[in-house]
Amino acid sequence: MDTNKILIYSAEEVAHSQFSNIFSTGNYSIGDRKEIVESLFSFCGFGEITLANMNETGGMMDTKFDHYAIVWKSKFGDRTEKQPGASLFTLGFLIGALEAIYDQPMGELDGEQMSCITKGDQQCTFVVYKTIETRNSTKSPGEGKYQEFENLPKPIGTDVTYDGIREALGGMPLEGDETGMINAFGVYLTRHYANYYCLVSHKLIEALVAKLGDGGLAIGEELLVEAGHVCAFNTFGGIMLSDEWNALIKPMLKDRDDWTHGILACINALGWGRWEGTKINAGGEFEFEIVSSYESNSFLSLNTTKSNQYNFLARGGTAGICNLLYQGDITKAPELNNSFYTKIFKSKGRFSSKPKDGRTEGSEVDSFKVVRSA
Amino acid sequence: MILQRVNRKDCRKYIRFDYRIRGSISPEFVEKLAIFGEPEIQNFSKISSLSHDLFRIRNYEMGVEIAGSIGGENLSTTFKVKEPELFQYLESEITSLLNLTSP
Repeated sequence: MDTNKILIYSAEEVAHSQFSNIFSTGNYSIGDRKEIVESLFSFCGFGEITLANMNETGGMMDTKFDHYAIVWKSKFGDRTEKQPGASLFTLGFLIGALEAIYDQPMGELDGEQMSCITKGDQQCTFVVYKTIETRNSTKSPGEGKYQEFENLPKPIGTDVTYDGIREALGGMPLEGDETGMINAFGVYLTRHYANYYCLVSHKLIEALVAKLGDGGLAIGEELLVEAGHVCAFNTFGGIMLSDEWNALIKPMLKDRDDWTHGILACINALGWGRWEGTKINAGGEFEFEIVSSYESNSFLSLNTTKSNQYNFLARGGTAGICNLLYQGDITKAPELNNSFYTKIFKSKGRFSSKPKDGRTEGSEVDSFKVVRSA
Repeated sequence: MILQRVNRKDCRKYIRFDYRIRGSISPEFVEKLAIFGEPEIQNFSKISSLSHDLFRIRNYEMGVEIAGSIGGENLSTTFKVKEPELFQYLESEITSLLNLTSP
């Protein structure tokens, strides 16, 4: 199973779909199109690219600033000589964007990463070229089965104001700096395509099921929920230890239940749908509800039949909130390291999140029950 | 101790120290800190009367960032360069400025 191809071609699909839509709205020259692609890549915090030397048959591009390579090296150190470069998203993005710039269908171009910062090189180098055999690709589902919602939660008994926090976070200048990187909340952020994650997880599950039968679903589910735990640990944990949290949100908080509201209010500013804690430590019980979860929006459009089982990130995220606050105690500002992760996600009494109701079973929303392990 | 170090985070690319201030961070202290660079202010206090404004000073020459809550007790310093002399120098400068501006 070639997971690198899943990561590359999913990026191609989202980039091609987005830029084809943008370019169809006006009469843009090739130069204009390249500028739009370069600007958007940088704005989103993916790094810095220049397409000057690329044309309809491909070309070569190098950069010293690539989010995936820089963050990989920062987190994991160098890759081995035998491993490919870390910038699989960037490679796929380049392929899809270039196809869209020259009005080509998806699957006409392919590419390779020739050098990578994670392998001791000074820069990341990409080469894009015409394929001998075109690939079958599918258009990204766009908004998918998006659900409209008007009001954010207004919980009683807490000073946390969901509307205010979303307004404050939405107004922050979270965009790539002169190097195309976003360094905020103590982490490197990106403004990412919701469908990238969804396509990657959907294709991973499909590939595992094709190879292993029904057992592949269980393995994929475990892998992706664990990825959600890691995401929650670093992203939510990083937010709850950040300067922005200390100034904006922490003064509103009295106890760990308030902290749960605080992080939920932040999540509601991330474009992940409307997250609400319907039971927060109510007799020790935790339940969460999501309207317009980007995972189910996408998966329902991809014609999968078990959307709530596919809310992997949401399951990892809701369990992550409870583990960070009630299994560990992030209010005491611990260091977010491997030891703390193991302590809160791998120990007795840790929380895990199970689907409760799902949109494919007729429910209006996706909901989750988070329970302690025995 | 007017400036209490409560946490240290060692990353490959930077080192961050978290401090707690005895009392609270005054606007005058932030003005004095401007010797290290122009403070960028996030007006979070307009969102809620409980929230504090956030200041952030970036000094690219020194590879240092100082951030904190005005009216709050949290302050952090982040260093791109791992030089203990620089950590001590900044800590000592911040302590002096706090002493100058504390009531």
